[in-house]
Amino acid sequence: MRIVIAEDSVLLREGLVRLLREGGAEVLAAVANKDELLDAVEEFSPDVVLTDVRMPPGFSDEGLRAAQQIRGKYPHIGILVLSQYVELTYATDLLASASAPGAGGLGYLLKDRIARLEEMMDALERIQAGGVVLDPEVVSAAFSKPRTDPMATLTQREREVLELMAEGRTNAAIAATLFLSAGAVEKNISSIFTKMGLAPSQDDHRRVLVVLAWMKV
Amino acid sequence: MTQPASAPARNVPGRRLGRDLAYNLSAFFTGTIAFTLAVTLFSLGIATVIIYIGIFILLGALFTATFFAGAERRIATWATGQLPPTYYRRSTADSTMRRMLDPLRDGQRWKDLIHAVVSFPVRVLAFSVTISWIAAALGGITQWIWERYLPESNVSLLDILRVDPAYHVWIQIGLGLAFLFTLPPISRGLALLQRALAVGLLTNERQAMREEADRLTNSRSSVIAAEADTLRKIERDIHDGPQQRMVRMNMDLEAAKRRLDPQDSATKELLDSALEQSRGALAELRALSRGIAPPVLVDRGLVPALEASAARSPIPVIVEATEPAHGRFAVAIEQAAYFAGVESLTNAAKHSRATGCRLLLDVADGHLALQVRDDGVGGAHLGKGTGLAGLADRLAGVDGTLTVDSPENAGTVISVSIPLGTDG
Repeated sequence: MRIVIAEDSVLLREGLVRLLREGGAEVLAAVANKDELLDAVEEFSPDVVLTDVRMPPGFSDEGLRAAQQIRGKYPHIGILVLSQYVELTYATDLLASASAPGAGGLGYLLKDRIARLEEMMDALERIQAGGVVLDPEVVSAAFSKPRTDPMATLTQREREVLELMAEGRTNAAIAATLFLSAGAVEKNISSIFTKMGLAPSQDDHRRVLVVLAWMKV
Repeated sequence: MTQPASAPARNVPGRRLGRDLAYNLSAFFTGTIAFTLAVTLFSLGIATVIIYIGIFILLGALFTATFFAGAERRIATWATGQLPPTYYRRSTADSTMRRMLDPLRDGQRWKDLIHAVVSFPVRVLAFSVTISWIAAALGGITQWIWERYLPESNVSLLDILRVDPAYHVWIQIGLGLAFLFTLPPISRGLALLQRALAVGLLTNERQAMREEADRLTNSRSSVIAAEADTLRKIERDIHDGPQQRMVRMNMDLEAAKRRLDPQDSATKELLDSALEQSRGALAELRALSRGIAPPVLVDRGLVPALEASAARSPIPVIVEATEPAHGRFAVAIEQAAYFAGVESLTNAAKHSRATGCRLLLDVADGHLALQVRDDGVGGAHLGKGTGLAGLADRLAGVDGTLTVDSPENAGTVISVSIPLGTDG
């Protein structure tokens, strides 16, 4: 897996490079701001871009804006955004650009998660495969939003399944987590699709769409 | 009323008399100099305005008058007690020339000049009467000593009145004593007369208070704005410093764990506990940052920040904002409104036992209006020690108001209104 990292803090940049190399990824470039990131993407055309939200010069949401620009220009490149904060608006902004078929995967993770090698590599692999990975904290925050749409008709079990889907888990992982059979998970998922009014189509793509619908993007 | 610090000591009559006398007698000398300079410089200035130099002479006249006005205020305060405050305009002009000429537009300086002229006769009166009174008192009392040295041909008033010479001395002494005993009230009256003139012409309390109010308003606004900026800066420092270090520490601890001999369970336990601490610290830092200046507020503005906060609320919250409320406002206003919203939501979650909550945001007639309604048990109030009381204080800093409508068992409506001002 070929990766470009954008993170302004030297400490974290070094840590990330070391971590990803340990996980067997190829770090093409590790840069410190938005412009350098866009240049590096241009130059290396990585599989996945890993970017911080706040970067120089403005220290606001340069990372997200860079992610959106990259998405507009190279939709196939997966993007994983790292943040110190659970902010739904950041996550939903990012996901707004995720729904095109054939688009690369997207992720939004809290920086706490990046310490664990296996979690990190797992997220990157799912993003490379075109999936959506959301931080569990973002997911639970989004779930606490009051809903007045088809989502409200989901059963408790369906909501649990949807939460895990939003975190980017596979059917097998969902089954293992909820102690369900693979068949039961599939039944739940198709019930969710039906309630959300999503026609049967490419499974992966539908999974993204359902997460987006639920995030109210 | 508090005692002014420089009030004359009332319990020492001698001291008061001494001060009044000093005030009345010195007034003549300072008054004469002030009058002469004021009249001379003013006439000279007016006469030469046509060749510009007069403008500077007039400035000189004003400064001279203001100097003497200051002296007069000081001695009047010393003799008769604290005067009302005086305010001179502070020039805020950019150009040096404008700043130099600004005193010409200050009414108080012209009043100082008028005082220098008008007070002159009053000061002459105070001086003459005081001197005469002292002379009459001392002369009458001591006449029996020096009378014998007067020329014989001297015909006194008492001779004309055909008073028996045997009584002359006693009448003189009686008159002298009368003057002596009336000296303090007369002297006091003259001092107060001069003071009245000084208060009328040399002080401008309303102007001074208005000025003070303006100054306080400005300084408060800048303090509030500076505080908002400082909070952002602190948040950024936490983000860039300790937070990044904690994340890196987590990474390193995890890396150490991965390299650990699987048999070494003691070390693994230690590492796990260290990880737990650093994760906890990170979570606390994050909560701290959010309490100081949430990044989403800084980056995205009020509505997204309140939405994010609503998403964290344990009771379901619906955020509704009108189009103008989606705009950006001054930093201090955004922060005040954000914390008002968060505090109200926290309050609802803690005490209302509500099943749902609505947060409404609107901009109308130059005010930002924020309302939090819940369907809980009511009974919220602005009493001491409640979060709402602190909130009202915080809003006062941006001239915001807070009203709580919370009848028992009928839900709570907290309404916040913040004037947007000119920089909204």
